[in-house]
Amino acid sequence: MKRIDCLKILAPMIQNELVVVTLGVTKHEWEMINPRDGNCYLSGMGGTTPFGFGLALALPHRKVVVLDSDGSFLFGLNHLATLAVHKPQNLSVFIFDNECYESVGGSPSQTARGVDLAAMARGAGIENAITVRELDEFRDAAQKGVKENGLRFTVVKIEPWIAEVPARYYHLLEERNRFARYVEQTENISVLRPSKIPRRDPSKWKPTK
Amino acid sequence: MKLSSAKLVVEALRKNEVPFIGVLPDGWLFEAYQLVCEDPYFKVVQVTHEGEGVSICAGAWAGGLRSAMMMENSGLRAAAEALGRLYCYPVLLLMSYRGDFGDSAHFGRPIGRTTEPILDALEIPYAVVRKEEEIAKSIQEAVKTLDTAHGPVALLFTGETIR
Repeated sequence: MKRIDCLKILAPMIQNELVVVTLGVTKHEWEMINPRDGNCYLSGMGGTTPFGFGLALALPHRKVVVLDSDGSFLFGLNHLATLAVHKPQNLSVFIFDNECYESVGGSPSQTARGVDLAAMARGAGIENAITVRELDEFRDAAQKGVKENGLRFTVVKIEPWIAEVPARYYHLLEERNRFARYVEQTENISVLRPSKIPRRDPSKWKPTK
Repeated sequence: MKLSSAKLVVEALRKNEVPFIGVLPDGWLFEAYQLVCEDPYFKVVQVTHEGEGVSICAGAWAGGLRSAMMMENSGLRAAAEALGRLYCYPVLLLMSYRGDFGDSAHFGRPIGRTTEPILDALEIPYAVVRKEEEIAKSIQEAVKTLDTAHGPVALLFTGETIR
């Protein structure tokens, strides 16, 4: 099973959900398949699921979908404890587990050596933590993950394979602003909190030398 | 932290609309942690690692909530990677300043010696708060900087705010 085929199945299920995407190839493939302002692209290992968790707590009525990877998730594995304690009902986490650090050459990750992330999630207290290996299983997990309430943690076992994606410039600040404005528009709230511009009366200006 | 100082911190966080609080328990900020837990205005999340806490706070900010992370300054080193990566996501770091002048703990100075150099290296604006009467204004100004600088901002609590 390839990640790109999973993402193609997931894309039409996404409507107004907020999708937080990890660094590396996952981001590039998702952007090619489903470019939209409701995608939040992050850089950095270990922070993707915690970011989605914080977003889900801030907007408990809004579904948040996280697309993370084994390498990134392992970097911040301790987050499983926090996630399991709070169990945000509007959060669905997908870990695309190719059992290697694919974006940086393909060295095996610890999931290639028997570490079972779904079992660890269940051990932490997340009941809906499963592993899927076939596209039909993924389709079912994706439908439930996107459309049903309840914290879901789905490990998606994929083979290492990078799709051909178009070149695109990414800058964290640009991505942040685009996503923040989408949240502002769809939630009718202020995220960027623009500064107030002071008004001045030109008739009261004194000439300067 | 003196209970009177902790009350001033929590009052200022509410007044300046910082409702989301990440916490990694810390001896000096313990009183402030207790107070935010008792106050229904705040959404409090105890985290397992300061880097995780910074990422969670960044997500909460993207969801429209100003956020703060309460932690010991030793956690700044643990959080440095997340702070460096998420440089444009505002989070208010409320830290005890272990190892500042007058800390009687033997482990304080090894923590404190790297605090300000790391804040400088990460280009995080910060202020050291030593007196109770500085608390309200420091938090007010830190929140203004949070909103305009659009990145992490730090306050270090020490001196008369602690003992």
